[in-house]
Amino acid sequence: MSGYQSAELKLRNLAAANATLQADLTFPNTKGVPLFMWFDTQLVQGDIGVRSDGRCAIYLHRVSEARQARNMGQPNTPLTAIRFQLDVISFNAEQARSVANDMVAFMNSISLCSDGYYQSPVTGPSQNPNFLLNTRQGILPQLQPSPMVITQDWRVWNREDFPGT
Amino acid sequence: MNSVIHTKAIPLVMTAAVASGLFVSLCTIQQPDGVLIDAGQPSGVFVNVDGLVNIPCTAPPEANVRITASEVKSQENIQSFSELHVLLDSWYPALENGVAMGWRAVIDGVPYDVMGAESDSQGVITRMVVRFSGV
Repeated sequence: MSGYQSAELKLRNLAAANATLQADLTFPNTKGVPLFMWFDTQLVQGDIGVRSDGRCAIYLHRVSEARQARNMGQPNTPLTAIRFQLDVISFNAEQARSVANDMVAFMNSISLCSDGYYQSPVTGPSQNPNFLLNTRQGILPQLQPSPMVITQDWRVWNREDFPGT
Repeated sequence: MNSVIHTKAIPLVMTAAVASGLFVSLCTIQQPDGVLIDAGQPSGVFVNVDGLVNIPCTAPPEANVRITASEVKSQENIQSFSELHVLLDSWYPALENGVAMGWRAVIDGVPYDVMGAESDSQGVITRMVVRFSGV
């Protein structure tokens, strides 16, 4: 391990330190242990529970990643433009919408292009390289009741070499 | 002659079946309370349907050949389903329309989605397929 931290890890660490998201997403898992329900790939089976549990969870996956190249040649610079699909799921539709709104505020407060990213929030728009490209809603219709899923597409600029060691 | 026997025997079919002692489960049919919350989402609260409470039934897995519990795995989540074939102790024709109104069946305390209900042409039995799902 070189000390590398993926964008997924940075995002989760920052989200877990965000008081609003902590309140939004901390629930007992299937073993009854309080868990910050932010998953880096797939919703963990059973953790959303049933409607009366009132839980909400987020899971994301990397849709694509474009590694930037310098104009005069050097490819594969540490700067990447990542598209994340981020899904907010809850049996309560309004709860999902509310947490999705909190996510926007959270993403507007962080930067993965700063070596001191743990010092977020960033201070100016030029340091705010997270763009919400699209939001759409869906349900899981095969389930009864059907949970609401709010899907956000994010463009996140990330310095792969940060945090520096 | 045979038709006379059948006419008298058919109504006794369920009586004999119930007397066998196999109807060990209880089924309560519930309907949505019709209340919308927040931006228009159904409240998720169900209330019992009059006359369809604690019905003795059998509720085995839908097929007896192989296990029917199933999972649908996708990139985002894993959905799991299991279905039961429920035979009620008598004829409950209201259930057939209830399926289209979002009724659910609570069998031995577990809520199931009613996927379909049908009765026989003689008005003797009603049976359902119910499904439990999770993610």
